[in-house]
Amino acid sequence: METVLIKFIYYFNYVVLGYYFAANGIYLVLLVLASGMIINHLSRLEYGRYQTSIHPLVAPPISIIIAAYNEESNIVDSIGSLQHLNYPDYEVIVVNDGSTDKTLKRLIEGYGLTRTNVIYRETIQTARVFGFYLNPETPNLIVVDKGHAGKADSLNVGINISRAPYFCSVDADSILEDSALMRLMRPIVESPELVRATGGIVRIVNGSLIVGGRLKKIQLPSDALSRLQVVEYIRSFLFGRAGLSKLNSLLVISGTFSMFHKRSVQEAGGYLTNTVTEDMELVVRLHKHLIDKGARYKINFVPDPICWTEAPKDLNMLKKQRRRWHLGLAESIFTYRKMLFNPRYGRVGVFALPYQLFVELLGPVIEIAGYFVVTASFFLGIVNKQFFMLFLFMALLVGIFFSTAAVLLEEISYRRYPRLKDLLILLGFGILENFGYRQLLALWRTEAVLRFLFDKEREWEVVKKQGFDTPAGDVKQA
Amino acid sequence: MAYLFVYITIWTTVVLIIGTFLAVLVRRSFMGRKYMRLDVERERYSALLATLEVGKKIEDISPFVKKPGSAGWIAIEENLFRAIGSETGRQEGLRLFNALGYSDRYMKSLSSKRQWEQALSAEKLGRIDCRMAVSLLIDALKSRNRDLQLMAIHSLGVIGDATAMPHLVALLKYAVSAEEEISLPILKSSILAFGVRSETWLLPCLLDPDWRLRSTVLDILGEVGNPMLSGEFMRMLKDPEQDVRAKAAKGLGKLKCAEAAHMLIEALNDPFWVVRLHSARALGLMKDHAAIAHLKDMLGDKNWQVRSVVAEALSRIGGKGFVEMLNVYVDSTDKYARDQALDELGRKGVHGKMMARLACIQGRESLLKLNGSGNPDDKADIRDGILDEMLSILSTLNEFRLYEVLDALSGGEGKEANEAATTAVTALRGGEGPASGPPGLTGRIS
Repeated sequence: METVLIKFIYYFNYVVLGYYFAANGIYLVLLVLASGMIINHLSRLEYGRYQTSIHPLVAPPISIIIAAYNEESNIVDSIGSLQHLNYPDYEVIVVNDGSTDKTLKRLIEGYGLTRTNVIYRETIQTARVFGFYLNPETPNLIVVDKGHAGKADSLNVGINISRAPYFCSVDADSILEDSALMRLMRPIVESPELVRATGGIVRIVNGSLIVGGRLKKIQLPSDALSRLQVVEYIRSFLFGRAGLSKLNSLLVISGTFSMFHKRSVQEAGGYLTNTVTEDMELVVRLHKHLIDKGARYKINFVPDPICWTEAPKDLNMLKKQRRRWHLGLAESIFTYRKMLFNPRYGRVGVFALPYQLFVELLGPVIEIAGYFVVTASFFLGIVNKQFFMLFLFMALLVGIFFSTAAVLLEEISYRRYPRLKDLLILLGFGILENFGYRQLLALWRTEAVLRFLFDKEREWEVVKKQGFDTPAGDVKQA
Repeated sequence: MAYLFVYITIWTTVVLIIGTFLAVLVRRSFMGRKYMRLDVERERYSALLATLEVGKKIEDISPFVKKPGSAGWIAIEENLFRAIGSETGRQEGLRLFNALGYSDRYMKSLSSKRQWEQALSAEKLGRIDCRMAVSLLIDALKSRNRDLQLMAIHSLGVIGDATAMPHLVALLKYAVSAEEEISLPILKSSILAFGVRSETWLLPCLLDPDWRLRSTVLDILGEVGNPMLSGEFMRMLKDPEQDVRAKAAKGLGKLKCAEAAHMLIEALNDPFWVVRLHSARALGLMKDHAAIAHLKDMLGDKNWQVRSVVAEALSRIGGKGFVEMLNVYVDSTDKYARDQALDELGRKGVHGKMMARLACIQGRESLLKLNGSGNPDDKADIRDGILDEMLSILSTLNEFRLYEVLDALSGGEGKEANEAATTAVTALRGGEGPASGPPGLTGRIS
């Protein structure tokens, strides 16, 4: 028995080693692809201003859908900030998802809304809708009140009453830059028959100055946890998603801010309500639906930091958020397991889904298992001390390299943190995140995988945020 | 062997990390200096913008002649672009773009090896209205660089030189028939920029056997909005292809062509729902009161999108349009038509307006004055006379039904206000009328 265990540990070392090099090799490829894509995009941005002078009648109308649950502190400001968006034709649909606070009251008072009988066509089945609120003076704003059934259900209600061919889902606690819609719509205006969905970069707003729901000054947050997340977001969005998009293998568009072709989503069945991450599930389903239909399509990533959102400020909330995300990833892969390695689904089946399974989903599990097994190997004398130390050192260095490379990409591209001090802080936290933070995230993700496998009573974990202009004690759910 | 591999990886990574750190810092320092130089130059040439914006001419251009790509060149370019954005500085700014060599530089860059530079130059040539570049931009329409092609399309529209039109229309034909990845919205936008001048080249396309081209061209001509073309649109309303008929109806609405009203009313019976939808919308845009009765019938169309647009059209026509929607809601046995009428009346805030009118009447006028009264100078979207007529319709209902209608119009809110209004409206008919509603409600009201 002992021999078997030692043999297992011995061979598992090879598995860890092989996995480690394969995963980092893929990251390296993504980094190279993302660099090319971002440079390309930045160059194209220079003549992107032409969009402001195209005939407004050719700009497709958009419905902005906001699912609001207990957002009383920010909701009026958030909706107010949408009035400044630089786009010729859009309507705003706010879906009050059975808030238990005064979200609806604030909206009614803030915009002089009155209850109105509006026809509700349930193209996608949803929870019960209680009523609609409108002001004839502001016909482009409609508020829907419904029973609490989650974000996905609220977005489906929004889709059902939307009158535009495209819809954009926006989180109630996020802030859009004025040009956000214009930039997200650019791939659609340029290839309307081809592009079915687009998503942009989401950045962390913690520490920045927000006035009246608008971002006035971008600054780094003062707390270490938020700073670590800033570096992590830069890495994830700048080279993770940009690289995957280059391969037309993007399976995740952040639900915080994303644009969809409405009819394609309706045909695919809308958002699924019994999943913990409705955004990824929808994108995978959209891929499946469009490939099954034999449609030529693209799901584009626009590498522009155009949406800002609040990140959890304490470890407990962060843990809940990351566990939820990972659980959602596991659910989506499991739901669409028939697409895995299926050449019928092209790059999505052969590369994107296996990448999500082996690198994103199982990566943290193998990493955590690796820590135990390699340490056991060391104590059992299977690997010698020098090799063990060298390997650990190498792993840290590679981690540091990817973090600093992401900061470099940010510096080359957007320079949203203009002070040299901020840049040095980002580089510093790019190093620091490899000492504990990354391992902690891997541990929580491993927990999520285990929960997915063994806990059938999974629940949506609510992440509470503090709000932008509210006192620290005044929390709201997101 | 394993050691060697690990050592190589470690050293490579160390080199990469140091390289990345250095790259970040060097880039920051380089960009910092670049922007600093640029700021100095911007400051130096800020007077140029001020001069141009007040409409003055620059006699001596020699201080502004700079090496392409230098900080001075960029700063002057920025100022000139800002200047052409102002009415007073536009002409002189455009002249300076030519005189200082910017136009030449952009034209040369169209054949640069860098595809982004090509596209950016094409975009800039449009912004500076460079007619000299038209032939080069026309050539660029055939480019394999998709961005250059796109910017050339856009810029040709901005410049608006007629020689580009045949090429743009040829590209439109190609884009429509071959379904190539040429952006139709941008192509349409560019052609639209030519306005009525585009008609010479677009009108022959209406005879093209490809219905997709006829339909696209009608769409563009509709947006151009020349009322002289209403005859063409009326002719196309009889096209055998349904999409073409739909675009013709849409165009007639944009043209607000009163002579076409009878044809559009006929088209409300078209078997294809999109034609019915655009015909209804067109009648609404034309504010044709004669169409109200026909539109009222269409509120029960089998297609919900048509019903929705019909209701919008009735409220756009206003006046009797609202009265008829209320009539449909009160009298019709067609649930879909009633729901649609209620939806539109709700969206337009009719309940609130009627309540306000009722309060006004209660305050100053006798009940009998309701019929046919109203202030003809009232510029509100629903005039008092119309509101009075609607109240008059409501006053014919029994109390229970009246309360029900008011409750529905208010979205189910304001129970007390609706009860009070029921009493008030009932009083308008002097207590006469059909039987009362349920005891609870009647009890409270009476």
